[in-house]
Amino acid sequence: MDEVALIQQAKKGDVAAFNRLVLHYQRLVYNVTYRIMGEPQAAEDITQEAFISAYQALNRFRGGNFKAWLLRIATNSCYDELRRRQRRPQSSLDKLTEDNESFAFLRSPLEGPEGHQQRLELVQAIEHCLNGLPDDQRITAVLCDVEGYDYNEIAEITSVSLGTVKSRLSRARVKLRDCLQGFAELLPANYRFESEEMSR
Amino acid sequence: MFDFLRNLTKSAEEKKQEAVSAYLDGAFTPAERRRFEQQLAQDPGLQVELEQQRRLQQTLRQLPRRPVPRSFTLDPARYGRPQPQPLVQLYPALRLATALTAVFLIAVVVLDLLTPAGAPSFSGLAEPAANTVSMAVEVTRVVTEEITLEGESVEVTRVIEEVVTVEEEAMAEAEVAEEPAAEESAAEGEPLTLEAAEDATAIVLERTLEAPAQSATEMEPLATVPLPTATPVPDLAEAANATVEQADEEPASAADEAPAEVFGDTDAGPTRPAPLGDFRQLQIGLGVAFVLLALITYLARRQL
Repeated sequence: MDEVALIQQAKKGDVAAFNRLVLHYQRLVYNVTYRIMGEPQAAEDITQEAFISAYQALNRFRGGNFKAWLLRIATNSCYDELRRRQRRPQSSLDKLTEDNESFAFLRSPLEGPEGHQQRLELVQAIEHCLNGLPDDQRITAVLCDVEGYDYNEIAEITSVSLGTVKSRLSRARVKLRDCLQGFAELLPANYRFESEEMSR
Repeated sequence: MFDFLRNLTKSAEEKKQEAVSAYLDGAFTPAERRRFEQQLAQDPGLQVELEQQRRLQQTLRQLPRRPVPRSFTLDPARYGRPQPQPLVQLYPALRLATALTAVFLIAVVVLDLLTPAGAPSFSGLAEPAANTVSMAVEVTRVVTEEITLEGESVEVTRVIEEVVTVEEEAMAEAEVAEEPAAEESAAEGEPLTLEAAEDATAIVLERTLEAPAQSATEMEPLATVPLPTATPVPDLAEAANATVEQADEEPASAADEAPAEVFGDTDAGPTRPAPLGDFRQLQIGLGVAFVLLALITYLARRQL
């Protein structure tokens, strides 16, 4: 896929060219927004909104990292929704009704039901700890530790300085570590955080 | 700047955790990495912290990616051509223009502050009239020379003050038809019309020619009609005319006894407001331009 050519065509009004970009990046954007929002429905709405905004703002894109530019739009949309929710707190039905079916994708033919259940609980524990972080720290931790972006890319996506990225990430990791220590029995042995084990 | 301030408020523990995090992510320079590794070798607690963060990162990386619940492609019928946003496209140029305007404004303000007061380009509202009058007087103080006219020695003193003064006296004489008093000391006077000045100088010249025996020193300083042979004369005449015309337009700053019907209403204020200094006008213009550009740039930035 020639991304530059598709972007140029999309700038001229070729929606089909833009949709090819959407198909390429939609899973990435959806997962990032899901990790930030913690809910599938909210993630879906924000992902659609992000792609619409990206299409309408395409003339502002002056080349460079299109993925980072797209994620910046998506995280900004997440920020807006989170701020809106802070002003008007609401209980999310998604959080209350989410059941194991939403984690059906975790099933693997190679593992039995017990293994699947363990993995399911681990994922739920990690998501629970992520959702317990402040918004800024959660976004930074998702982009770095879940999605694998480096500090410069995260600074570009979140429009903050490198120092802020380092600070937020460090604090997020400490909080996540402390939170996951409460679920130690769910973690694989080599992922556990017991100090005694590490200092041996 | 805020990173620097934030660093000042961090505890030692926070700084240590940040260092571990940065080391884990490869965010250190080679020198920083060497320093950290030296510390790591000597601090077991630091080693534990590093290992915990490493395991945490591995755990998070294990998080599976969810499949998309549906396609997020756009409907071509609903989303046509992207909306052009000229303000956003001009944003880089607007930002540059705002910065340049700010630089020029600062430069003009600094130049204004550094330029000494009283210089012509910084004349205030009240000054131009006085400066102009005094300058005119200074300019016209040209040459004093002695010329011979038909065998008679005539001292030509080219001093405009005296010219003006004499002209004023001659003008007064012409109006009241009194005894010629060109030798009288000059009072500080109002500017005269050109015709009056010429009449006055003609009267003075006649008297001068009638009294050849008088020595030049005995004569009161007199203005003379410019003679063709005297080189500075045309300039002097022009300068005198300019002084007369200019003084005619602007009121004298000193008190005087000039007839009101000749000089007009001398107590009146300036017929037109004195112009602002060049730098002041520039400052105002640049200030307005800067504010406008900053506002437009801000609006464009908001659309980004």
